[in-house]
Amino acid sequence: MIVAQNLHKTVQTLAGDLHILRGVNLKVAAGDSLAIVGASGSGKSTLLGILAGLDVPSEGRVLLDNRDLNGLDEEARAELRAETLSFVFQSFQLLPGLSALENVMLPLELQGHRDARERARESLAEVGLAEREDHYPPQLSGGEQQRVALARAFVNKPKILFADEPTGNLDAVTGSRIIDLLFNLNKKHQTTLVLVTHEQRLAERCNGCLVLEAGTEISVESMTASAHTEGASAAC
Amino acid sequence: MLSLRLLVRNLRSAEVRILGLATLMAVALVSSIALFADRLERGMEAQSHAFIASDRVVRSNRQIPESWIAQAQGASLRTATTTVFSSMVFHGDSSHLASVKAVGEGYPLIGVLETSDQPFGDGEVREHRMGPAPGEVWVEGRLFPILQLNVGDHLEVGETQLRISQVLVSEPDRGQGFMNFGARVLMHAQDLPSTGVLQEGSRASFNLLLAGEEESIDTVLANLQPGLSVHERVIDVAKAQSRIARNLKTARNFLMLASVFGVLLAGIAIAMAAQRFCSRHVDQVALLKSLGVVSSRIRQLYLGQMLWLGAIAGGIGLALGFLLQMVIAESLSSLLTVNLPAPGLIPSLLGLMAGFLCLLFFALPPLWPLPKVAPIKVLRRETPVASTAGSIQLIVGFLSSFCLLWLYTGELAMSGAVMAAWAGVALVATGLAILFLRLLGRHAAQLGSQWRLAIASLKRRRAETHLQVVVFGTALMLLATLLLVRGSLLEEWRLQLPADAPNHFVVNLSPAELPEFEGLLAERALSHSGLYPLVRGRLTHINGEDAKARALAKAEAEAEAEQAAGERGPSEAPEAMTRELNLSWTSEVPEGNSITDGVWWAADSREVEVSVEQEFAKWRDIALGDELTFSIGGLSLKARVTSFRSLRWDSLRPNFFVLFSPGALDDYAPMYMTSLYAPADGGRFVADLVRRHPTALVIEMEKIFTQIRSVIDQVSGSVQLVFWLVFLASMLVLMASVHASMDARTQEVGLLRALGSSRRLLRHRLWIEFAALGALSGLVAALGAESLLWGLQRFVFDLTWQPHPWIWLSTPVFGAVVIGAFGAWSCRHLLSLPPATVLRQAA
Repeated sequence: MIVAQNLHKTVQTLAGDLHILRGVNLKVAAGDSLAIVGASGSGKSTLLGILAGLDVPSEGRVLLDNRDLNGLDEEARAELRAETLSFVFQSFQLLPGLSALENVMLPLELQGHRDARERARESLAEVGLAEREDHYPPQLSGGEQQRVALARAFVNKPKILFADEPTGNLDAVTGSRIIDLLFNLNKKHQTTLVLVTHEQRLAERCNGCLVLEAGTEISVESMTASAHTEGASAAC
Repeated sequence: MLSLRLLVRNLRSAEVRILGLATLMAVALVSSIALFADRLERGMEAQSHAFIASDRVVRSNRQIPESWIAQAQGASLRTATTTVFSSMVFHGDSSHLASVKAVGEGYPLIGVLETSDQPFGDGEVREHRMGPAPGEVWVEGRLFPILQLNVGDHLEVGETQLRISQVLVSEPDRGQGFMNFGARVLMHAQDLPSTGVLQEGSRASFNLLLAGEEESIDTVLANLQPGLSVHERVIDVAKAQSRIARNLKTARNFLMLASVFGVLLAGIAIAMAAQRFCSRHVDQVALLKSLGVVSSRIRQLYLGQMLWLGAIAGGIGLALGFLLQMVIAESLSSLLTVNLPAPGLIPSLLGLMAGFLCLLFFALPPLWPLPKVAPIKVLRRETPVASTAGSIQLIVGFLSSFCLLWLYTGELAMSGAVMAAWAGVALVATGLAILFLRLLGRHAAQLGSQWRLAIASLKRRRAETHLQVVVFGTALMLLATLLLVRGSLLEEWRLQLPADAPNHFVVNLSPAELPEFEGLLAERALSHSGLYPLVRGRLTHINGEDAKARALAKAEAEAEAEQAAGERGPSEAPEAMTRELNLSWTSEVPEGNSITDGVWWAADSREVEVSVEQEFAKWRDIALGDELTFSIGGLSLKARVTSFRSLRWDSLRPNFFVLFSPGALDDYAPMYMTSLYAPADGGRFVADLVRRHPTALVIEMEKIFTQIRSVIDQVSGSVQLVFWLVFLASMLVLMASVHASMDARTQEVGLLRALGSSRRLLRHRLWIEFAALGALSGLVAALGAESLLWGLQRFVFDLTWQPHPWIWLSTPVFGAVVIGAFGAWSCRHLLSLPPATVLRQAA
């Protein structure tokens, strides 16, 4: 489902070139889950962005659902994202001006689904927030906001779900409930899951694990470890 | 439809509401003026055939010869005669200088007269195809309260009494879009001799109205033409309308200028709100992109939202514009003599277009880079976002304002000049804002911590502060200037007159009446400012050259020069150059006159000499030594120019453009005029005077002042309405600006609250900040208004400048209170939230 080969990402800064990723390889099969772990600034989110086609690598290539992202321009990548992917973010990324229901409806409306409202209601019910569909994000707790985000992520039945620190802004108890919900939904919808986390217990629930070393450098061990992720084993 | 749904959801956020309100304001401003002007223009056009109550009018200053009427009737034309003159009319002890029209059989030839049983449109309106019967008069409604009249009462006109049988509502040939000062009294021509008001040499306009086949009219006029003197002219609809149309266009352009200024302010509010909208939507766009929405679709979605917003806000703005133009029409109703048709479609579209253009021109530049937000921003918040450079936004804003001005006034040169003037005002106001802010900053430290914090906040947002001072300063300046012009200019002029300045003009005294007139004055211990003989005549030739042809050639040369220079200079129409003049003679230089060039005639001069007012001479290219030919009552008189004079028009004495040497006009049956001071006595002196001298015309300056004031009040009421809207537009700029700074303010308030500042202290701080902003703007406005007034008094009205101390106090106080209250109100929710919530929001 996802194949990354020799991914490099370099950005130019005033202090010179900054290498964020150096030759990352990975392969995730359909229905599998992969945790990307590492300290802050290790390049986890950059890697996630490149895998999801939100950003482009300086070198290397990504195959997403058997399509080479290198051959696609931003517009084509956007279309691929619309057909294939969904996201869950650390900061939830709910639109504050929209109610819970409207936030969940948004991806369906953008794809022109006429039954957006009904499907969004079902999805909110799945995360246990049917009663709060008219509430706005500032009126919801952090855990509730992330549940709305999960409902939005699964509402258009994506093939792949990318989650960026989904419990990063939540307390331990709430975070654990969100993890349960995420994996239940993932199982139910047979979604391929790639998540970035620095939480051990979350990484352990994935089939595979890729460790990025602290700082911008990727350690050889990690890369080796990354090679192991091709199978079902975890290096975490 | 997704755009509409998104817009409806986005309407919950303040910046979209500001975008909507500003668009609404722009549409309301432009459509109200465009709709009203269009109704007025169409109303006049619709009445154009009835405009002169006939197809053609031959106008003369002497009785229409019977032979002309016979000639017209012989050619199967319908004819009627009217005589229009000013005369005092009485009821009991009350008097009024009315505009009397005596109409003969057949009047009106085209159009209808409308009357009612009750003044002020209370009764049923009836249409008539003929004027009042002999012995009756129809009187305009506004005369009823002035003279305490009732229908059925008798009105004294000269030596006769006529019964008021109807209230005159409208007449087809009132002649102008706006009224003459005197109220109309319509009587039958048969009663005219019994009034004894008109004598040889009396000032009146005698009209022969013609209607019928166009060919027959042309034939009759072609026959009459050779016999017409310079004192007679033929009027057709186009000629009657051209002057009014020109005045209307000027008025329309002035109001349009004010409303486009309001649109510009709305545009500034739109640009600021769009900037905020853009920064708030960066995350949304990044999210949409992560959800797979392509850039072009995002552009389409946002453009769609703007268009929907334009349509919805524009629709509401149009409805508001509709109401406003009704208010304007209503407030001017007593000045208008035109029936206004229903509002039209084109000005409505023009108004809507203003909203769309304003929204697109001002909102698009900040919004343009939005679809280019990188999708990775959803993960990496530090990813930079492209934005349109401020300089580009400024240039686009400036150019679009210019385009809007040009579009709505149709005057390229004027639009350029106005833009330059606005830029100049903005620069000066910015300079003042910088200066005042610096002064305030220097002294704030001594005023305590609240002041220091408030002034620091103003200084931190320096650019916004300057912009707001410019915006409010200009809007307040317009309002203050209007209030000054409306309230005090006329009064100040009157105050500058000596207490015993003449307050009555008496015209139309025959030489035989002079001893009795002087006797009357002596009885009452009054004195006049000199009796001047008066004959009416036209300047026909200058050095043997036709004066009208000269005027035409001069006008053409000026038009060419204007075209070459791309500007418009003052110029008089050729008709005005050869209009009928009041001519007089005197042996001494009159008081208030001074010789600027040449020599005043000697007492024993035998030659016919003239002294010409210097401006009058300048516009007609008259030089010393020129020979002027006048036509007086059909006779020709030649005179040599031997001096130029300057004179004080506000001396309230008889003033003349052309004065002859003594005896030159003896043969032309002069009437006499003078001015005098008579203390207020409830009108008894005037009543006595006119009863003893029924042909005399007394012009009471007090009544003229009252009438001028009433016209100024009504016109300025409408202008003021537009200016208040402009001020409201400036409040939108404040709203947008406060909103743009809301994140930073939230953080500040949260921090200060966390550090233990009380709600009261923070409220005071906000009040001080906005009140200081308002006071600064008020100070700029006072300075601007005072400068404008100085210019008006010095250069336009030729008055001595007087300071207006109250404006220096009231404008800053008004600014401080209104802007202070509005600003503090805009931030009120920050104070009511717990500090933790405020800080979380800011985060």
